[in-house]
Amino acid sequence: MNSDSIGMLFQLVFTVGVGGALLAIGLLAGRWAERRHLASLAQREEELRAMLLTDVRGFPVAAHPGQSVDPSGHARLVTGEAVISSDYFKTFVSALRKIVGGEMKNYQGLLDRARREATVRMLSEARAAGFDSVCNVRYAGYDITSGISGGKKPVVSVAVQAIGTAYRRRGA
Amino acid sequence: MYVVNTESIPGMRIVQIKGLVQGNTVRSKHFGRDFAAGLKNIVGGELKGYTELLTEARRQAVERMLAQAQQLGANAVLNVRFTTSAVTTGAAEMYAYGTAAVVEPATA
Repeated sequence: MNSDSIGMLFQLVFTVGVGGALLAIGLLAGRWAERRHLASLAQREEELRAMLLTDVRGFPVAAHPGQSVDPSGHARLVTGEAVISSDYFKTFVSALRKIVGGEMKNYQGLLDRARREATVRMLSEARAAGFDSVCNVRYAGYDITSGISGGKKPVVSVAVQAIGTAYRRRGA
Repeated sequence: MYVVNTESIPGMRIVQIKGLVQGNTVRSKHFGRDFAAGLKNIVGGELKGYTELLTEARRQAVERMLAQAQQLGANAVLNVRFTTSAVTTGAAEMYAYGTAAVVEPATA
């Protein structure tokens, strides 16, 4: 074996090693980040369970007999934003998935987390301002990172914004 | 100033419609944030820098929209919506718009 092929072998081992290490880091750290986020979401959603959240245009109280909308003119726009990043492992597995097509569960999970986080932030803003209901909720997804690295190596992430109108119910 | 994304405000009645008001801001990428995002893209998690970017952009667009409403003598903006457009690589616009109106308590 001459020194040239040893060099090439070394390079191959190095490349595969770095790739494998990134995959392992992505898998472990990504799973940890996801688990922590989901636990935190579940806890905050539980705390916000008393909030009435709807996507109708009016100010519904119908499902709650004996209640009416507080007519004192207190209503306000509330918003929540969240940008959630993929991890190396998810990006890698999803790239493989693209070859054969089908459902991309990993990215579905990212969008789900971003939407829940945006919702929780919007509801928290409403509650902090003394409201107990949010109606006319609208979600928008934004593409804010695909252009960021100049198209060379896009950051895989999802950005979601939730907006709604916070109001108060009487007799709640 | 009342700001809602509904067409009415509970307990208030619309006295006069002043017309469409809008506010926008174009934000570009930020090298430090990009670098951090690149790292985050390996380990996963929230890109807090970008969340802030979005929040700041939204706040500024709303502020500019409200300034316009104020100039028109309105005290409310109804049916507020947001959109974004990509301007060039690495820059995006946040656009807020709504209908400026004068409202007063319905009982008055």
